[in-house]
Amino acid sequence: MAFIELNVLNNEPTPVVGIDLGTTNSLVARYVDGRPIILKPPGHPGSVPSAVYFSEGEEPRVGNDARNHAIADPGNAIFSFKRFMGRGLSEVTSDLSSVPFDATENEHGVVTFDVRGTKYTPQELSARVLRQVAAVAGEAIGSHAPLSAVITVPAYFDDAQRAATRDAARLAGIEVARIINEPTAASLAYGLDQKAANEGKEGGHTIAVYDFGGGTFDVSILLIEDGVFRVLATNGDTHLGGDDLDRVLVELALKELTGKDPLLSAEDAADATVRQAIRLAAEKCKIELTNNPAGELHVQLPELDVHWRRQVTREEFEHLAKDVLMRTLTCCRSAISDADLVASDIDEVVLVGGSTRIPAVRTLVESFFGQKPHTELNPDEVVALGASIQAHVLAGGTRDILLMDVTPLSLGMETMGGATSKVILRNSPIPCQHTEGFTTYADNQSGIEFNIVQGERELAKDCRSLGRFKLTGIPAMPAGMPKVAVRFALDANGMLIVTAKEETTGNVSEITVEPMNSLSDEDLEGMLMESFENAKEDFDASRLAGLITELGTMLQASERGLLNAEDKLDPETLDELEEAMQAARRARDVKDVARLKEVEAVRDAFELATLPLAAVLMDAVAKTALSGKSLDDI
Amino acid sequence: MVVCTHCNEVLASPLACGGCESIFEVSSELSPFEIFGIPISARLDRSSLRKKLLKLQRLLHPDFHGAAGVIMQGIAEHNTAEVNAAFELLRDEARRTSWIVESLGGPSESSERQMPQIFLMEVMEWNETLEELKNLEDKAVAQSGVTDLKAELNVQRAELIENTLDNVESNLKQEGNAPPLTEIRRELNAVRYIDRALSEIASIELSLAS
Repeated sequence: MAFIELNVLNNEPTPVVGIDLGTTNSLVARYVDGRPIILKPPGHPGSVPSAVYFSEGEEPRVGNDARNHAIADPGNAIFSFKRFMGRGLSEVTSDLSSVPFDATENEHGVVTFDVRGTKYTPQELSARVLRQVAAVAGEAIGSHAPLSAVITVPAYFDDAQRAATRDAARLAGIEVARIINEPTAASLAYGLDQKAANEGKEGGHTIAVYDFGGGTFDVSILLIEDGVFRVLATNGDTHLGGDDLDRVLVELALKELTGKDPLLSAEDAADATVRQAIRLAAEKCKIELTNNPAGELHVQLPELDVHWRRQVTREEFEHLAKDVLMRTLTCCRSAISDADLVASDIDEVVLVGGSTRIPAVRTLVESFFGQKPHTELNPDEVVALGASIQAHVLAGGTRDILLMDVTPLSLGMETMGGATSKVILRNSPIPCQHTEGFTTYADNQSGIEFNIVQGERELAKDCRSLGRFKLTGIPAMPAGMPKVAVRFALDANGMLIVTAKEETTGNVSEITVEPMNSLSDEDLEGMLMESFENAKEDFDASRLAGLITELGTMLQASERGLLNAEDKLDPETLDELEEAMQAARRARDVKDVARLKEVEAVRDAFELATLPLAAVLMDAVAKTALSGKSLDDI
Repeated sequence: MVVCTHCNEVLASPLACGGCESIFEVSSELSPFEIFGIPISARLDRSSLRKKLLKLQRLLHPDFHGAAGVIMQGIAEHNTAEVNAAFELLRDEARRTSWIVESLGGPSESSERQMPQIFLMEVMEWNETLEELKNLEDKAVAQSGVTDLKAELNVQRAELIENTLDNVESNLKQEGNAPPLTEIRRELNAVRYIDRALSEIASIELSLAS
C-alpha cells in the first residue's frame, strides 16, 4: 500500500538509479524492463571521469573535459579525490605524493584542495561529479535528473568515508536511498541468485567477489540462499588499486631517467607537470600490456628535450607488480578465514574493477581459487548495474532479492589507558546495535566525552578515530548517580548512529551527541546554499544565452518580413516594431546575468510588436497558396 | 502461543507476522531463542536456523520498508538488528551454550576462572609450540607444525563442544545425573582458550602465506 502512495502523489514515479562513484570514472544505471542498464544518452559513453577542472574565470568543468586538462594545467585539474574522502591531511601524505596538486586541511580536519584561491573539499568535488552523472541520467531517460540514488562505496570504507559520500550526495541534491558496498553490488549484477536457485546446493552458493579498482581493493565472501545475498566476510585496502600498478612503472621510468647518464635532473623529476606526464605514460603502457605481450613506456617532455622510449614485457611488468598483487591475496586469505571457509569451498568467483582486465591478475585469481573467474560483464560497469538492482528493490519493485551486508571494521571505544574496547566486531551483519552504560566522575557533571574508533588494532591511537563524541545535558546529580545509556547503531548503510538517554530520571531525548572532526551541519548548509546559488547562476546564464540567440533569430525574421510587407503595415504599428527591434539589438549585447529580467521583458515586448507583421505575412502566404503558387516561390 | 493482533495468525516470532507481513515494535528484552521463536535448546539444526533467519529478514529488513515512513523504518531497522544479533549468538555453539548456562543460573564467563591444572599445563605447551613456530626460519616446517597443532586443537575442541551440548541438554531436561553448571562453564572456558590459540594460528598462517 505504501508503495502506491508515491506513484499516486506524483504522476510519474521518480526513478531511483544506481550510481558507481568511482576513483577514476563514475557511472549511472537504472533497472528497466526486468534488467539493469547503463544510462547513456545518444552519443555519450555514459561514464563521467571523476575529475574537476577549474579554469580562469570560467565555470568549473567536470568529466572528460577536466581529465584532458590534467596534463596541460596540472595544478588546476583535481582527480582521484575519492582517495581523500573522509580523511585528514596526515592520512593522505602518500596519496598526495602521486598527484600533481596540493592539499591543506580546514578547521574541522577535512582535507581541502586549494585551487585558484578557493578551497574545495573532496565532498564538494564529488558532488560536482554526482550532479554531472545525474544530468547524464536525466538526459538518457528524457526526464528530470533523478533525485534519489543508491550510491556505492568500497566495502572497506569506514564510517567517515561513508559519511563524506553521503554529504557529497546531499550537496548534489541527491537523496541517498542507500549506500551499498561495491563488491556486494557486483554480485547482484551477475544474477547469481538464479544460478544458485537452479543448482539448489544444500547450504547455499558461496561467492567470492574480487574487486580491484583504480584506487581501492575489496574482497567479499557471500552466501546466496533463497534469493538472499548474505555477506559472510569482507576485507580490503582503501589504498591499493590500479594506481599502484601505474606507480611501479613510474618508478621504473624515474629510476632509469634519473639514474646513470641522467636525462632528467632530480629537480625536474619532482616537478608536478613532469610527474603527471610520466604517470600518464605509465598508465598507457599498463593498458598496452593488457592487450599485448609487451608495452612501450614512452615519456615525452619537449620542454626538457626528453624523448624516451622503453619496452616493457609482460614478464617484467608482472615481476615489478608482484608485491602489489600479493597484497590483494593477503586480503582474500583474511576474508576467507573470517568466513570460516577455505579457498576450495568457494563455488564462484566474480571479477570487478578495471584492474582485473590485467592478464596477470586473472591468472593469479584463477590459481588462488582453483577456478576460472566470471568475466562476462564489463568490469567497469558491473558495480553500477548491481546498484540499480538494489535501487529497484528499495523502490518496492521486487521482494525476490535481499542484500544482507556486514560492517568491514570493528567499532570500539577508547578506554582509560588508551586501549580499545570493541563494541561491534568486524564482519557483524548490519544493521546492528550495542548499548553501553556511562556515568559521571564529578558531582553535577553535565557532560561526558568519549572517543569512538574503528579498526582492529589494540590501541585506540592505532585505529581510526571517528571523532570524540560529546554527551551534554546530563541532569545535575552526585557523581556516579546518572546512568547514561549510549546506543551505538550501524544502520543498513553501515553508518554509525549514536543516541543516548539518561535512565535514572527517564529523560530520553534531552541528551545530545555531537561528533567532531567532520563536516558540521552548518558547513553543509553553507555549501548547499552556495551550490544552490551557483546552480541558479548557471541556470540564469544559460537562460540569458538562450534569450540572446532567440532575439537574433527574431530580428532576422522581422527584417526579412519587413522587406516584403512594410507597406502593408500602418505607420503606428511600424514605429512600435522599429522601436522594439532597436531595443532587441541593444539587449543582444547584455552580458550581465543580473539583467536577465530586463532582457526577458524586451523579448516579450518584441514578440507583441511583431504580431501584426506576422499576421500580414501569414495572410500573404495563405493568399499565395490559394492563387496556386508554390510556397517556395515567395 | 501468541497470535498476530492484525490477522490472528500464530506468530512464529514476536517481531513479525508471516501471515500479513506486519512488523511489531517490542519493548521488552527478548532472548535470542524468543526472537527466533524456538524453544531453548543446546542442539540446533544449522540449516533450519539459517532458513529461519532468511525468512525473518525478508519480513523485517529496512530495504522492504523504504516507503513506510520514518517510524516503521526505525522499527524495521531495530528488529533487523535484533535478529542479526540473535543469529550470531545462536549459530555459534559455544556462545549459545554459554548463554543457556547463564540463563539457568550458572556462573558467567568472568565469574568462573578456575581451570584444572592439567589443562593449564597443556595451554602452556601450545603457547610454547606457537612461539617456536613463529620464529622458525624454514617456512615449510613452520607450516606443517602449525597444521598439526591446528588439527589437534580442532579435535579437542569438537570433543569439548559435544560434551557441553550433551551436558546442557541434560540440565535443560532436568535429568537427575545432570552435571553441575560450573563444570560446563569450565569446559566452555577451555573452548575459549582453544579458540584464542586457533586465532593465533590463523594469523600465523596468514603471515606464512604472504
